[in-house]
Amino acid sequence: MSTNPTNAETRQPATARRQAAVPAVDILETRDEFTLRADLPGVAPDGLNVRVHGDELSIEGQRHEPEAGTVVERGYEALDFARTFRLPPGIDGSRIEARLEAGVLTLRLPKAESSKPRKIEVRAAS
Amino acid sequence: MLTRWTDFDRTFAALDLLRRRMEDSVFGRDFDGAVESWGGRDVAVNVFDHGGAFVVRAEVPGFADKDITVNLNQGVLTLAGERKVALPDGATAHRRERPSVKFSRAFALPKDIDAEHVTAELKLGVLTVTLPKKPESQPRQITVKVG
Repeated sequence: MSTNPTNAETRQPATARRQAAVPAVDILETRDEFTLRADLPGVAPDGLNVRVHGDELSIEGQRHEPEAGTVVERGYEALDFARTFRLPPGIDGSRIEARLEAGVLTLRLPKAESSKPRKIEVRAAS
Repeated sequence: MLTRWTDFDRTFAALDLLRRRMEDSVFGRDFDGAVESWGGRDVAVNVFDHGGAFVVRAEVPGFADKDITVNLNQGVLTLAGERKVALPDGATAHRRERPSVKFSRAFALPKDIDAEHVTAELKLGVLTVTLPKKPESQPRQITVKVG
């Protein structure tokens, strides 16, 4: 298998090529947005694929970790990562931001204006 | 409002049934607490022998340089580190699978490590420590001359 996937290969789900691990995630919600953080050790920005299709959010991370030599101790398999979520309604898909830092993906999923909680002013009748 | 958040938990569930079953068994049904997954017990470490050097790799996503110490003392290599995962003020957690981690791993090294040239690199959430062997203990290629 080539270690330098072509663009066409990159668009294929990682699971179709080889076994993938499910990354651990935190999903947090504030008034204005959802935040998703995923542990993706060993994944470089150009090996990361975040896609939104309808209400599906998929995260795929390719990992190319050199494994030359004889194994002395095996604590983990350097598998690719893949996980798919169904998004709740009211997320503005055009404003999703992704950042990958120190092996952690942070996705900011802003809520659409219409789905944010609103405070209704009560006017005193004069 | 409360009903909506409950709905969210349900709709944010992973799509794949098999995967969901797996998550149920690994994480339990309650997603509110900090659940154990990656690194809940310890960080995962691989050790390879490259012939000329040993290479130790540890999965440490979310750790900064300052969060990790690599020590070599009396033939013992110690990797230690800590990451804190905090819930921001005012945020509601729908899933918390990424635990705070504090780890320390010690490895007794063979005598032939060249301690002066040990290097450590933190990249993409993976710590790599390279421990070269002293030249005299490296495998040598003996050229067979054709007479």
